[in-house]
Amino acid sequence: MSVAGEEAVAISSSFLRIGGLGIALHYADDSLGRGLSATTGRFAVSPIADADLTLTVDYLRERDLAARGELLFESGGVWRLYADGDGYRIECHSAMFGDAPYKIALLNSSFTSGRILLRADADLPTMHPLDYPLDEVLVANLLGRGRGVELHGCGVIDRDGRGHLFVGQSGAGKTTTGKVWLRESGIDIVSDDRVIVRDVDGVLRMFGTPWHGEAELSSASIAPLVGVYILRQAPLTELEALAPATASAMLFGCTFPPFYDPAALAFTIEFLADICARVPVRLLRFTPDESVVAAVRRNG
Amino acid sequence: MTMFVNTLQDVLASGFDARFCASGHSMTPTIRSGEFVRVTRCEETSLRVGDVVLTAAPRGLTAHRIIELDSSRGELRVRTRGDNSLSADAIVPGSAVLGRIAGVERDGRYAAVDSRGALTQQTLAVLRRVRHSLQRRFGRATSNGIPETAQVRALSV
Repeated sequence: MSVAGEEAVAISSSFLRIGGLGIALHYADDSLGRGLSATTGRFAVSPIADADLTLTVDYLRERDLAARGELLFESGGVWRLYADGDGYRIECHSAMFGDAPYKIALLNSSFTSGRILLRADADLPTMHPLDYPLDEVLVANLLGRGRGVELHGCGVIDRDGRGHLFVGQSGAGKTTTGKVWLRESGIDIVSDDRVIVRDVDGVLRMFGTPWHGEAELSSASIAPLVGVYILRQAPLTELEALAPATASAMLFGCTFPPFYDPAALAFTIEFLADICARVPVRLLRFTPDESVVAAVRRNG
Repeated sequence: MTMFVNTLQDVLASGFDARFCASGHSMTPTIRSGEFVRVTRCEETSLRVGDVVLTAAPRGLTAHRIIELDSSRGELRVRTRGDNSLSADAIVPGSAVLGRIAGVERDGRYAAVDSRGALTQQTLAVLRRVRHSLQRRFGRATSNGIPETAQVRALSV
């Protein structure tokens, strides 16, 4: 499979850095490079020479709807992943745009280069090629290839610059926790829904992402990770130490690894174990008030 | 929230639509974070799998797509899921469905979001292409970009 975009000559480009991962987009037509959302725009950067992922963006043509390879993953929602020669094909579907995909991404086997193809009749004036969920799917695949993990959590940078990650599935209280912390001064919430953790120069760091929760909390900030807290709403706030194996398993339930890639799964499990070995991971039973802040500061 | 939900139900029952600002990515691209959605009243019997509905869910007001309708226990039960959510929502009684998300305000215009509206959108897309062809042929703009009578016919689909 060729992902060189043989007929696409870039007219303009834009660059993002999410979780420290550089993404370069080169548009074959100015009409394709419409502005990023306000949230994603916070992750725009100056031109990158060494992007982790380089994408050309062009219009979807009839020939691009050719037969796909094996279905590797059905998200049950908007996107599906297929094999495509040595690489991958991600199709995005929505009932709003009929049965044909409104967007297709073709990636090489290492997810370092590819093409994004947009249907001309799929509401392009308001759609950016990296609009969710494609941006997160691409980043998840980059992370799974030895770069880090994305967790379902709320990342809080306290006034001392240290990062605390509050993890939980939908309804656990991530946004609620973020709102409690925002009552304090000097706090930065990197996201109230998705946070990336990576090892950078031997230090575990927490990265904000554009993918926020109900409170729309998101920033491109980065902080050293000093504690992970698995959320449980309770009548009283208290912390409970967890055995590393238990902590790893609970964190795995809050990650988004490429389930169709055995190597990525293995890396994710190993990385989570590494996090649990290097940073305290505790069960946080909490009531949504200042007792959460006090407990974390007292024990963190 | 109970008072708010009751007020919303009264508004919808009176024949008025409600308008909300959506937050989150669970329904992208159908509904994008920050967009205003229009909620219309709907009867339980009119609900279909694929409809995007507003429910009074345990986590709060949620606009997700119906993936399952179950009447096997006498009363209707509804399960929804965000198009981008990893898991389905908790099943709720049909009475928890406050209304159907009929459309979204996007870029200064209104776009239907329900499965039945997709046909309307496709029809309107065809009409827009026809309009462009007419403009190129005759050099004359039509009002609102679509011939009014044709627009009325499309919206009635």
